[in-house]
Amino acid sequence: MVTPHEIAEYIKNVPPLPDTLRKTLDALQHGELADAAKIAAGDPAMMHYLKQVVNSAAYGFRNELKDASQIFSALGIERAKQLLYAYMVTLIAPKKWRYFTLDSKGFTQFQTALMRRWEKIVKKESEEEKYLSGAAIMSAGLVVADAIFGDHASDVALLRESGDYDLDTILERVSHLRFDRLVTTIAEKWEIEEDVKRLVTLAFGKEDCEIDDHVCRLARMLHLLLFYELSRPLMLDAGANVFIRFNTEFADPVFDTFQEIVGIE
Amino acid sequence: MRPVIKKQKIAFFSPQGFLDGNNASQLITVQDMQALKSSNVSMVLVSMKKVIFFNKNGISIVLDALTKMHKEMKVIIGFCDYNRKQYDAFFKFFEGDVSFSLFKTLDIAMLFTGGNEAKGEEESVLIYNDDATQRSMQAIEIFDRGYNPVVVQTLDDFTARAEDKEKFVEIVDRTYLGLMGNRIAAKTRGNCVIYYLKGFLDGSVTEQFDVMYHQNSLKVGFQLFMFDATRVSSLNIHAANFFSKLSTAGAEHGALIAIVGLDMERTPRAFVDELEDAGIMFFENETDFFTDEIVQSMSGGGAAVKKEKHKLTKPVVARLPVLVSSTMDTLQMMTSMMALKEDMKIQPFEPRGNDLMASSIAFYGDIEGMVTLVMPREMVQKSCTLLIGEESDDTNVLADALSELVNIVAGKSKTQLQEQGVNINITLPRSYVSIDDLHATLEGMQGVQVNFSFEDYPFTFYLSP
Repeated sequence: MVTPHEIAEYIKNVPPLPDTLRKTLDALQHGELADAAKIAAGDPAMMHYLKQVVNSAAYGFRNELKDASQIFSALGIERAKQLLYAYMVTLIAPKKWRYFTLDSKGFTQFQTALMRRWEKIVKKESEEEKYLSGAAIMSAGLVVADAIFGDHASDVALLRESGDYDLDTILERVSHLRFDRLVTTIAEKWEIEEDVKRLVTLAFGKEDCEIDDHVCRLARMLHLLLFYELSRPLMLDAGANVFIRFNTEFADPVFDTFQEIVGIE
Repeated sequence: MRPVIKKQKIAFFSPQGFLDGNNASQLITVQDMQALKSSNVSMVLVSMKKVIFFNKNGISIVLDALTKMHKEMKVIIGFCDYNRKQYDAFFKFFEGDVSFSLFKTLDIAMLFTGGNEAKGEEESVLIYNDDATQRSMQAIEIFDRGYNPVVVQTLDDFTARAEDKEKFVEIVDRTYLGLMGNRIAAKTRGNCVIYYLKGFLDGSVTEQFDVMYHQNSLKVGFQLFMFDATRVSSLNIHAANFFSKLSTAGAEHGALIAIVGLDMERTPRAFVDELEDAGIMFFENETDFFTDEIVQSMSGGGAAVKKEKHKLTKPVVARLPVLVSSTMDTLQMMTSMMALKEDMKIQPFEPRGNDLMASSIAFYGDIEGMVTLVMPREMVQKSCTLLIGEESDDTNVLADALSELVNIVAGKSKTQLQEQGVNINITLPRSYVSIDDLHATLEGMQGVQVNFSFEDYPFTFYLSP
């Protein structure tokens, strides 16, 4: 099936942040929204993505946001950063998905829903806004999974007929690698803050952590949220529900709060 | 979502996360139902192990799909792998009117399909349910499947008895039986397939008997078939004819059919004579059967009545490259080792290497034959790491994993042959922990033996008629 060498090659080929994106993020890091908007305006592809997402029903702005300055001021620093990382994930996403039956529209829909609900959770939990980027980075996991298993869909289907294996378990058994580590490696390449990186790593539910630790609590929420979104009809149809193993014990302590925030009945 | 099929007996869907009115219709699709129709499973379940939230809408939609399968395929339907809160929720949702089954674990569900291999002579199962009717139903179903049910009446008794885990092959609690199937229960013990009959046997036995399971057992080399008739009151001419035909058909494979524990005083002598003429043997009890000389001579898998010799046909041999490449692709995938082909000959089976394990699976349809994979135990451990998660030294675990491996190989072959317009069905796999048993099964056969080496391990692919 997949070899560690092939996976290493894939990760090696994940591009670092493009120049414009890095400069936009730097400006945001320094609290310069106007400068960030100016830099972003010079990248038509990035602007196209931002316009498409912020004007979608998920964001619900009353008026159409037409230019970079409108978009950046409406979003604010951390939400803008989150969207820029989400854009970066779409840059490494395949044009044609091979393992999951998804297209770019469907993936953006999933990613946007994940980010919007995550904003709500981070706000309700009174956590720092820097953690908003966690959901966007998390979505990179599906892109990595599609790249790794795209050529092996029939083998995975055969294996899954004989046992209840998620893609992460198969990956670990054939290569001793895991998606949490692969996504963290990508996050390092994209110079994501340490705390956010830790949040993403923990949110895969593979490592135990103390509930008193606020990043751990957030990670449990993000793990739950990921599976809430992977349980939607679009993602079930796409075969994405088996991306990683859902750790019920990990998610359980925060379930009631999650249910209240997200409004599940 | 595609279901997992366990031992060709249970199909189970394993959703993760949330199950509600919005997504439940995607869990079991029309395509999934179609695919399951040809699988011959006797139970279809939804595992709740990785479900953190479900509501009545979601469960009702899933139940609609399951009920459809129950009606069309006569399978047992329900849920498994739930916690106490989830178990209680099922009853709350349906206000006690629960027509589906609930199995605390998949292993308990397997017990009710007869999918487990018997490990000893008397296997006890501890049963507790706070409802007396359920306790009795479960005890009867368990008994019908050849186990010794130990039923306790109170929770305190149950807690005390459950501490002696070693005394029981399974402990059944928080389990509820809804609509059950009426198939004749079967399980295997060593080289013998045991069927459990009950009540008055008439023409309906033909509908209740799983003919495909029986034929598949013959195809993978089972030659001893025992019908436990200790709970049979009597039989009529239709049932006698059924057994007579079954015995005649099995003779082609050198199979021996025995009826054990039948009440001879209530059975017309003429029926017994007719069945004896058809080659069926009668025994008073199980011990007499297993200690009988003829039966013992067959216990290694060899036939007392010599098998009618078959030869590999040209169409089968023509598909050899597909069968071999499916096998090698799968094994290379599972082991991450490179295979080197050494030689190929038409010959009787000849083992290579020591401490060997093997597994066979037969196929039938447009072409017929049996594929056997033979490899050293150490290679089985490596090959099955992907399936069991770690290297194990437990012989039963390895034999089970090897069966799964052969099942995967056969599944891949089936798909690849289908692409070439050749349709086959596959039987249950059968694992051999002793190469002598395999020898006995393949005795006198000429097959194609293809030898490989996987790094330092000898590996044999054997295609036989």
